[in-house]
Amino acid sequence: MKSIQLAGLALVGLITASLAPLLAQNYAGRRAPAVALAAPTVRIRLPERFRVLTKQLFDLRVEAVNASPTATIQIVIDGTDVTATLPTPEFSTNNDADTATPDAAWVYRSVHLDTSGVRTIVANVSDAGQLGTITQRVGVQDFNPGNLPKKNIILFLGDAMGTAYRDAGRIVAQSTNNRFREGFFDQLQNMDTMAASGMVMTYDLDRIVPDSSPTASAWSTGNKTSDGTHGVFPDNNDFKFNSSAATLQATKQFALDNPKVETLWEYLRRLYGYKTGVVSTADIADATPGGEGSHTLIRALTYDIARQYVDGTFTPGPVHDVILGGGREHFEPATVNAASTTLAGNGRNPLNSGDNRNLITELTTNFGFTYTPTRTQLNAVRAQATPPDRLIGLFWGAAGGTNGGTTSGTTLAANTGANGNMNVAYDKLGLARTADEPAANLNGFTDQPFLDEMTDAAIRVLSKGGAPFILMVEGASIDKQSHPNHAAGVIWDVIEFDKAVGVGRAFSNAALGKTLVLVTADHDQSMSIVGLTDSANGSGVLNTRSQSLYPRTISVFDPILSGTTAAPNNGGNNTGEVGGFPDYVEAPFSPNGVSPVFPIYPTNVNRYKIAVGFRTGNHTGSSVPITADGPGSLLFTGYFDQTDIFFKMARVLSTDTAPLDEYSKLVSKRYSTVSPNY
Amino acid sequence: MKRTLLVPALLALTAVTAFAQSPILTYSGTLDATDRTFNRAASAFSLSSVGGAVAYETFSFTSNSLGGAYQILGDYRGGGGLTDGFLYIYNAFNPANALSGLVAGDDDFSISGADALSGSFLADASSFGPGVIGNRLILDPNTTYTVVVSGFANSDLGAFSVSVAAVPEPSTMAIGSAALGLLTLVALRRSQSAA
Repeated sequence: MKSIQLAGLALVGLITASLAPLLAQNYAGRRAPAVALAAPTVRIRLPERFRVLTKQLFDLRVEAVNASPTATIQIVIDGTDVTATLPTPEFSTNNDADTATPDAAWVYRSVHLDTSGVRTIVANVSDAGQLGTITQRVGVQDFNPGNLPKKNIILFLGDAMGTAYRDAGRIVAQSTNNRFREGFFDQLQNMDTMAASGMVMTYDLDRIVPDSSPTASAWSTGNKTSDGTHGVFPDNNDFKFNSSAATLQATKQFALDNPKVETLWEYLRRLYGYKTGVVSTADIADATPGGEGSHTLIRALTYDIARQYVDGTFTPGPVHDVILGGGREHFEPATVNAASTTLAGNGRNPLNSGDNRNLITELTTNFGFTYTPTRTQLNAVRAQATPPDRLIGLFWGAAGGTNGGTTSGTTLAANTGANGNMNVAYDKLGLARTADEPAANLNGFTDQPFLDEMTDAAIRVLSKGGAPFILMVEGASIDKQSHPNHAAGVIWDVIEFDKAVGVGRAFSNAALGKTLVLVTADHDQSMSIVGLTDSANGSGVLNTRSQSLYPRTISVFDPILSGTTAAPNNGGNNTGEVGGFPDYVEAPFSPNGVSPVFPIYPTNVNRYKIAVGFRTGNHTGSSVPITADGPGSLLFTGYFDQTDIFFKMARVLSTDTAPLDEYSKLVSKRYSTVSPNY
Repeated sequence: MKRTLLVPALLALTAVTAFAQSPILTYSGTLDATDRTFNRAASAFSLSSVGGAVAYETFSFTSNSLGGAYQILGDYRGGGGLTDGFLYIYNAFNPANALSGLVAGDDDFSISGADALSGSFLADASSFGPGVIGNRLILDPNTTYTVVVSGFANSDLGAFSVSVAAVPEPSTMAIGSAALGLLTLVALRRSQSAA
């Protein structure tokens, strides 16, 4: 792999103004201009405040307008001309939408900076005696764990799990058996009893209110990206991509050729032998799980995301050792194996995906993966004394592009459908939804695992053999059920998610203190806790400041996927939430004879039940909480940007955090306050 | 600073057979203002930031001819007990450089276990050092080690006791059982001869 080798370069500041005339003269000497043209206007397609780790790979794309096909380029870093040491760039012309003005672009793939500090990259483009120049600064954080013991990271991501969502989960799950009494509680959730907590700002490169793709890229790459984007930055040929069925395959190259930046999952795997994994109740090619191991301008290119899981981006081969979730249709060929479950006639239709590969077979045959399409088979893997080396489990697949009760019951175009989401615990347990929420549609997938079981299986596989690992676990339907304002689905996904957090924390506590556990959200949504409802009093709503619920807002379509944001409907109260939640019955749930890790879901026979309202059916721009436990957890206190999660995780892995961790112990041991639950 | 070192009378036999977890020795002491202080280790790589001048006491023991897994139990219970303690094992202890010669260290209390009063030096979530292999403390055979007992923070003082015991490997247990059986047989025959 060619790359910039910059270690040991002197940090000499470049005075561009003084260098420019000299460069202009040099380039003018090579090529005599026929006519006087305007100087090239140059742009480096890295975002403002671009940050990387030492040796983290990224693509350096330089675009120049007023640049002919014979224009030349020079790259200067910290005052040193490194052009000759760079890999041969990909060169293209006529990239932008302005066909009247010549433009050129150079892309240097997989470059890296090996010295920490603020580095300066200057691109000089010369054409016909005219020079254009641009300067980009890059912040570089050192990553050198040396001989420190390797640490693991488990990042639990509750999609859209802002403070109201966390609190609602606690009130519903921990208020059972009269543990919630007039505002007091006796127990907290697993995610609420961690050593450190902070708040995370979530905006993305082009919007105050982000979607789940740039937020995933923020913690996975350390950089802001644009809406709907996984681990790449925009460039000037993006407009050529056309998502219509007739042009999708021919134009998707313009969404896949963007300048990329390596994720922490890819980085740790490439340089430090980490095992990597993603677990989600969503389509596993959806935004949040896709952010750790795929690179695309368009999140809807889910077949290409799945293909990248197998083929790799910066290094060839699979990017993960564990892949567990929904979205089976993105992995199976159009003609599905008869032994497969329920997905007849779907899969990687070449019209949608561009190929007819059987990615599951490739992973199992060529790369040593074990495949589990059902909960029964996943739990059989969990019961094995020696887990497999690699694991892929795909427990839900969209047939015909519909997703029933999992999101909104909307039919989505098969080629853009991140619609293979698994059902929430509420539906997997067979509980009855409230009247305003659609009945569960299992779509034939009646043997789906719970997130805590998936998490346990992932940890068993990833921790096998003693290599360190990094794992992302997503509770996806907190978000997906919040889009259509389905409170029961939302809150039960929080509950299921917290059980998975418990699995991760149990491993961390038993694993010699070497696993950092983080729990956070990618962005917020608009659910609010508005009070309690009295189940013995019909539609009465108690303990609400306004004595009424928020105006009802229903999002008919999933606005992320359809591009349509439903206008608020202020026509009436949200009657479903007025009725509160049904009594919960402790689930006698042990299907297939295998008990879940945490089999007990709460019994709630309280008279008073939580009432919530939704202001919109979409994301909001509020900061979200993060809690942390394990080595280096104190780094996650305070109010910081989502991209800082990446650099804080890297700092934990590359530093001996023991002196810091002692402060956590000291606080716990010496400065505890009297508990309200004495 | 009151110290007591007890060596069981059957130490030699224990060291040879090495299948029982009876202590090789126990050490009792009291950390107080008369003890020396040092900047203890937070890990195998860093000195502590909260224990820069903690009181400590030391004692030594020699591992048996087999080496392998050992268990060191710290007990801080009782009136006037050590408020919070740390255990270390060194090859050669230098209080001016607590990272030098460090074999293993263990904060005896977990983060959430503020009320815990004893711990096991089978490796747990807070154990570290090159002697910690998997979940066990592994020592070389016939080697003299220094055990250092210190406070967690500078203000931690009080009484404690520590016991050292070898933990047998399953295969060693079989050998040890056979050895004990042989010794018993020899002793029995000698006894019979004497009669």
